[in-house]
Amino acid sequence: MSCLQCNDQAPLLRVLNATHYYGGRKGCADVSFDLWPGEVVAIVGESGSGKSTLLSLISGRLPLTSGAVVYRDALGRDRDMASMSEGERRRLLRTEWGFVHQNPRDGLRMRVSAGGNIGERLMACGARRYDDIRQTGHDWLHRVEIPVERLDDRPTAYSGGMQQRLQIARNLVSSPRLVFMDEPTGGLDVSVQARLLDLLRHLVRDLGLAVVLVTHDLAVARLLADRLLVMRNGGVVEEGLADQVLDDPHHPYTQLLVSSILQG
Amino acid sequence: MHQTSSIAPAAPAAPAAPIVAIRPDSAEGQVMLTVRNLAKTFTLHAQGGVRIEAFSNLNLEAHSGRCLVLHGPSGAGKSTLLRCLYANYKPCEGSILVRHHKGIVDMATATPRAVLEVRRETMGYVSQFLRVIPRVSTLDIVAGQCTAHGEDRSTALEKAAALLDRLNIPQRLWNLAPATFSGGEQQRVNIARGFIRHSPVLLLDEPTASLDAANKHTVVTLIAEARARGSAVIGIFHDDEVREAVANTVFHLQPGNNHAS
Repeated sequence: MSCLQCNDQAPLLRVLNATHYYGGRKGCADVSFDLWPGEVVAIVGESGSGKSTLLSLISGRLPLTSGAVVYRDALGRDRDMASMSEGERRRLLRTEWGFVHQNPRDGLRMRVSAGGNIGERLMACGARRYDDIRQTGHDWLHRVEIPVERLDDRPTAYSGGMQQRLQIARNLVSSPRLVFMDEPTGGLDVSVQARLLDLLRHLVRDLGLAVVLVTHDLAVARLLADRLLVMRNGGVVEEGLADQVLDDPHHPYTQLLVSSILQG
Repeated sequence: MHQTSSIAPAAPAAPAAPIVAIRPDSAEGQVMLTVRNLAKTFTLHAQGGVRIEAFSNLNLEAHSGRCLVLHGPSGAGKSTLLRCLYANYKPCEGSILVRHHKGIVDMATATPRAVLEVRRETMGYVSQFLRVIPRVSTLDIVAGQCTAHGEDRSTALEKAAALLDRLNIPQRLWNLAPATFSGGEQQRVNIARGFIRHSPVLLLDEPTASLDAANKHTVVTLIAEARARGSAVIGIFHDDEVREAVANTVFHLQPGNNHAS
């Protein structure tokens, strides 16, 4: 089977029995999965199912109560998240990783121009020449379909959809290997959502990004994800190929979730 | 829950199924796909756990250069079977062995990653309906199948244009997204997308439903061309004329009684 010979021999991220308790209350428990280079995994489930807790755990923003998360870095070293220092984790988040928040205000610096938002991340990766940084900022605005004459505007002057596209540009400009997305289309109008989804779909494919995506919107999951994890009460109740889980759900909860989609 | 739950460094993926699982090639052409003891039952938990059996103990083979037609009354499980072959549905029992490059993949048990690779490189699927992608032009939807495999964009666009032309999609529509097209036009875009690349195994779920005579004829020709390139075609065709024109073998599905003739 040729996938055994493909160049990506090891998972990028390995999650093993990831568990987090908020005091005595379970956030998520015993979640395990591997994420391979170029693979998009969506975590779906209703509010309170533990999907955002899981995303926080695997991106190192919340400590594990038990279990392990191992990231294979660009140099091929296995990095155990629990033993990584806060500084190392922040460096990863600025360089090899991206994090797209539901609310762009959480992922952008609102007092800095759009170009500055993009340039800041480039400088964190070592870029120094002003002209190069400005040109890359220019290219990325174009790529996320923001008029380039808005390069020097602050994000506060942008619409919600533009802010979200800018946040995506800020994250992707450093060619990250792994991007976490928390409801990236959540706060947007339906028409703006479609455009953003289409843009994301192309970028993910063109850049070969590995993505962990949290969404409660199954249509978003179907369009973007290779694989789904369905969460309920802090645990994974069903997982598999995205279209298979959505078209032939086995678990009672997944069946309920899928049958609750309004037919357009 | 997942097949790899070890955090040991860089463990190689599990070995592929043994090649002996597919019987030697016959005079009919290379065996591309073997279905063994396949069973599919749906359990509807929201409706009191009612169980609906689509089929059980189903066996079939598909050969390169030949067209196997799944035939039977509505509700006999034809589409369910086709979707199982593509791993869109998960069978309850049995195996679906597909020749993939130099090995064999069991679509019933393969990992999502392996299934996606088989779909990308070995197995094509044309459904009755186009899943519309917002904002992508018709030409790009069709050509995208080639460029995604590293083919040159201008060649891909030429091939896409030629195919859309053969399927009588007016040129003025090529640069539009097919969301607003008629059902028949969307279906033909879907056919163009399914046929633009050579698929060693090609699954067709009523590709000619709601097409006019001229377009039906084109699809029949496309199927013949795919067979000539060595595709093993497995399809559902309600239209008697089309079925007779394309079938080498007819597999009859009846609830509880499934066999080849």
